[in-house]
Amino acid sequence: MNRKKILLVDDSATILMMERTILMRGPYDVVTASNGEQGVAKALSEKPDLILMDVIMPRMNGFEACRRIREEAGTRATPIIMVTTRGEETNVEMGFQAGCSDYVTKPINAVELMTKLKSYLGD
Amino acid sequence: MSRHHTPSLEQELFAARAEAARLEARCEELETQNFELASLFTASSQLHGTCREAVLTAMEEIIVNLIGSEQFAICELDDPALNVVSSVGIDAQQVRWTPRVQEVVRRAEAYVGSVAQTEGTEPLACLPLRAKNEVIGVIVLFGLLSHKAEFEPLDHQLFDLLGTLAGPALYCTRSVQA
Repeated sequence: MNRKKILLVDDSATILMMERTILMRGPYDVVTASNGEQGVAKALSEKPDLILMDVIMPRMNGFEACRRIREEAGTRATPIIMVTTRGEETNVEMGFQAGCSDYVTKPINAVELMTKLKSYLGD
Repeated sequence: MSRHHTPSLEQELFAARAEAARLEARCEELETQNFELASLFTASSQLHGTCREAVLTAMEEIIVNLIGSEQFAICELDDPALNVVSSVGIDAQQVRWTPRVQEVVRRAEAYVGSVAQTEGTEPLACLPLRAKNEVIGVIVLFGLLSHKAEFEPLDHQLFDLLGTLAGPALYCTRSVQA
């Protein structure tokens, strides 16, 4: 089975654990980062197949991290799914303007998340 | 001579499709149950610690990320009042020792209201934190994230979990601090 690598970027240990628990049921290998700055570094070094990116984080927020990741040739096309507590249209629009590919709101709906992962990464 | 009625191909196809639909619905039901278990497992795993800050952070993260509220306070009982030990998105002054909160403490039972029917500064929900067979504090929620209309069945399970695990965890941090 062709396993995919997913980078989880979130400052919440709870969310990281939740995402890991959901993803462990699929063909996914997980790497994590606990802030935007670390997220950018790991995106460049690990070259994940997809990134789940929190928005509100210390040191660098998710929008800025997304912009930085999009600046690099090696990660320009990597799907980035924003994970946010703020599902308002303006916030979502900011995410898309920063270069995110999609978004899910917290609390995370595992079925919705897995469906989106399959749409970007295949079965 | 008896005749045996054999189903037509059309009937068999209809039966097969009905069975497929039933299995698909069952599969979705199991996926939802798995997700709920994942949430409960995550929450319970986070509520083990002796450091007060870590326990409070875990509680905040569960309420924000798993329940979906950014307007709440975590309080310890300072009979006959409440001592706000953590608050997110609200003014701590908003938490008052109201009859509803007193009732929750007295009965050790959660109050969970409806977003549609909760007005002004009234709490949306009040959850007792229990340890050593008594209520040592409460979590008071004043609202849900804008995209979440109402509490869901999983939230009630998370409330129970917070009440039974977060209470002792918070109580233990007092012993470590003392």
